Amino acid sequence: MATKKRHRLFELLVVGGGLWVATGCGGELTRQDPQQQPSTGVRRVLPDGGVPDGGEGGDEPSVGYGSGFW
Amino acid sequence: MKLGLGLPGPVRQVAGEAWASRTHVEEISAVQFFRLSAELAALNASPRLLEVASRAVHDETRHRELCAELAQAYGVDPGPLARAPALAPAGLELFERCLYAAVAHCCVAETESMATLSTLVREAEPPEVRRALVAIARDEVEHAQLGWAIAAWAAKERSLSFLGRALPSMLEPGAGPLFRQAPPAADDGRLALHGVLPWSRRRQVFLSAFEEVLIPGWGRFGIDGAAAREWLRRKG
Repeated sequence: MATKKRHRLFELLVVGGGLWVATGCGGELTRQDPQQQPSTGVRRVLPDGGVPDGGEGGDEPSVGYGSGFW
Repeated sequence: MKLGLGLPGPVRQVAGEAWASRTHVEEISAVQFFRLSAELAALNASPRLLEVASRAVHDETRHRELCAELAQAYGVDPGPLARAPALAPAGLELFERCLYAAVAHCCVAETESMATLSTLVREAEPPEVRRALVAIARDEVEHAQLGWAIAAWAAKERSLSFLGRALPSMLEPGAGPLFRQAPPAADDGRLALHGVLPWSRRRQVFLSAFEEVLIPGWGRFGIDGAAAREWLRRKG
């Protein structure tokens, strides 16, 4: 029972997400890094009007990090 | 609104702290989606991917409010927001930064959220808790799918194998604590009625998602799960 449910989660999330791309919802990957391009001057803001800590990218850790779990 | 008044004090406290922790997870998630949407735009991702990533910022902000209300209902003030760190290590190019963030945040954390939510939705009792879980789960499906869609999109043109060795770093902040000893109140079976998985069940849900969703999902897009398996073996 539990195994069947989790297989459904694989189908829903992994297969389902992949289908977005299979049906043309990916886009053409650019090779350019915007850090090497002139700024557009556009400042992105969060819904509450704030900006993320560390600006656009935040302070990059020396090793990778992960998101907290629910 | 006050909830869980029939629970023993330490158990109600655990419920409140769990919802408070989720308040911070959701708020940090809004920032991560904000950054991800900018990176996707720079990589020329399709309007569909950009739309979902941008909408997720607002979804997570809404979720934060739902979680904060429930934390307070169980007697815990979520307090100020913790800092939201960048996910990818320094020195990666844009493509690698974006894919690291998509896999760490959407494929790993949002997929784990869905595994947890799909279990909790069936068991929670207070209508306020059930409504919040259903509303959040409805959005989190799309957030997790976004990560796997980004992986599918990117893997068409470039190898994602560089992410394999990074999987332990992605897993540790969320899953690492599940392998520590928890106080008895955190493993109380009544917590599930209040939208919180008891500690040992959280670990089980993670392990099942790891084997049945994450490992095969990574493999589908050329990301070797060997380093993640080794990380898990050391936890065991």
